Amino acid sequence: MIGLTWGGCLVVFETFMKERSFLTALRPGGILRWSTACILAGSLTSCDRGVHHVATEQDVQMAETQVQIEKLDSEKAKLMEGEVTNNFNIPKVGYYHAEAHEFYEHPYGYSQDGRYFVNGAWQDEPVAESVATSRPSAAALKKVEAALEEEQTAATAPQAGGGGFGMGNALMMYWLLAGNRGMFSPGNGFRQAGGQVGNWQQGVDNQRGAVSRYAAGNPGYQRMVAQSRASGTAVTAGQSVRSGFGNTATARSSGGRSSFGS
Amino acid sequence: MKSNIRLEANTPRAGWQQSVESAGLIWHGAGEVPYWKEDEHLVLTLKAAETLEAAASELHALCLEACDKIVRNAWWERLAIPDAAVSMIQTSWMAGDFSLYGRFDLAWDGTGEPKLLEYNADTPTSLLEAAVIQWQWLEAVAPQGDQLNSIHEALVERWKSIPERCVHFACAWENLEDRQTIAYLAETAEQAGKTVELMDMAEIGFSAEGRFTDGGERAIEKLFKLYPWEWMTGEPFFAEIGQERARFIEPAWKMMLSNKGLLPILWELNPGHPLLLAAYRTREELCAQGVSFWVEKPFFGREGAGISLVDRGKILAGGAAGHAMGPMVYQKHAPMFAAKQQHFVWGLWMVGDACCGLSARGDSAPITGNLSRFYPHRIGD
Repeated sequence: MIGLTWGGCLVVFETFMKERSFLTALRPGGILRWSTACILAGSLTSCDRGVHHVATEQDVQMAETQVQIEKLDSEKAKLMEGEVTNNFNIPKVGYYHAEAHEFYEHPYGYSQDGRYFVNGAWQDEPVAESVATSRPSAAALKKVEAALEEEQTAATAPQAGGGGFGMGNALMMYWLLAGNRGMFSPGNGFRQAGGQVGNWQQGVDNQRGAVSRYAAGNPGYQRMVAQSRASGTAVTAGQSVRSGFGNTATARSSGGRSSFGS
Repeated sequence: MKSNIRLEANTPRAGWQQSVESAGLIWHGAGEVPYWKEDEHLVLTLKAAETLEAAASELHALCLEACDKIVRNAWWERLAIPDAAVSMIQTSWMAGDFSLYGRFDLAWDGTGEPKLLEYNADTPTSLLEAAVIQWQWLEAVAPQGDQLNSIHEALVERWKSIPERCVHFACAWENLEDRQTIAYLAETAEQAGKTVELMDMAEIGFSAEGRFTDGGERAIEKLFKLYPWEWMTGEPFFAEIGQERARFIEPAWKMMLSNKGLLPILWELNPGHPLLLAAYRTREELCAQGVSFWVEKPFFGREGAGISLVDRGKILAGGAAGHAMGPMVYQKHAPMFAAKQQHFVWGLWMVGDACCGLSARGDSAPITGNLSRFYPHRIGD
């Protein structure tokens, strides 16, 4: 006969025939512990949760900058050919819908109330997963120029020589480098921007250098960015990167007993 | 001569559905098709139960010897183990990383010796039914009877052998049975004095300090993952496991066992062993041994998926189709216990290195699938 403590009570077991050592129910009264019931219902329980911040605000800022640089690098070749990728976002201008050659307020395929925003209109059907790049229309470029002029008016100094950079500026830079504007006749905004190309390029390079130096001195940051890239989740202050496990299960379905066990 | 195994009918317990649900078996059937078999059970003589128990113990020893050979001879290609996982498995094996449990699936019609079908060493399920539900059934239906079943106590004792105070349990959260399994395992850990945390695999985080974390940013000390290692090897966080290797339960070395590529290796190392079936990587090798009735199994198939039963080149039955499950193994067919048009596979539960329990799954088809019924058992005359 043996005794074990369970839930503050001493539960006595007696050796019984050959195999089993129990006389009592495995669960008192045959009822699930409340915590197990919660788990099966879908909620989580139990260990004390410590507060352990992982990513810092600076990690987040650097990660966002790095994402922008990488996106810029990946788009550079297309932009220099005068092509803009679908859903390319320029702050204060909008999201580029490549099929319409135009910028709009919402991303391509933006979903709301069961409808989808596509090429400037709402529709009931989901959108195609892949849309080819295209050249912006003259009307689209006018929107870009208007935003650019507004930015130039508001700014006392060009942005790019110093602090951050916007994707709008980046687009402009490569657009100007390419000199490929189709039938569009550029106005003051673009002409003035032409004189700032060097500064913009310098700004991007400065940012690239800052991120590289930061990453070199912070192995943890490097790891987080690598995992963020692999898992498709953003680096967030105070949080580990997640979704690095479980992807295979998501890609599969099961029936019956609904298990990935064996 | 009286058979040492038989299938018996019994009167279902009043309110049995509520009884099994209250004990944690939320899913016990699909519509009119039961998963938990309440109105029939298997009766084994003590000698029969001991035969199965002894077989599992011996097979476990053979499997551990095979692991040693695999590591020493670098037979990774034979198991289709990716290069990225090799050093982790080697280290895990050499360090003796903690293992909790596993389940052998055996074929045995009650005559001769049981035969190994496979070893579910990494992510065995139907644990709650085996450890708890069938025991409660026994208490109600045959209170003077017994079972080959000390799974629960063995799990509690096994947890006591690790020093970590908090254990995390993770699975693919959308799967109810997997949640059932980790919830039950968490209870056994709690009874061993551990605190527990349950989570979705996708919720596991990786911190800048190089630790895996839970949703509250708490560093994970021990992680029981009901999630196949072979899937993890292809996922982003696998490359980050590194020094965290020993925190995972089941351990990485179980990749050598939860892989049907093990079957030809066992046969090669122990040719003619009475508990093993002839098994090869090619159909031709098997046929060259004079085998005409065999089973084709994918390395990483689950719940009968991808399995075919072949007699003289003709497919008699096939399991459910599935995703790519790796190369195939060709194993000689073994007769299963059959009664009332049902074919039975015996599950022998290992906790640590000891055999602690027996369960049985039955199906009208000769291939056990994920809807095959769970039959309780008792030891009787």
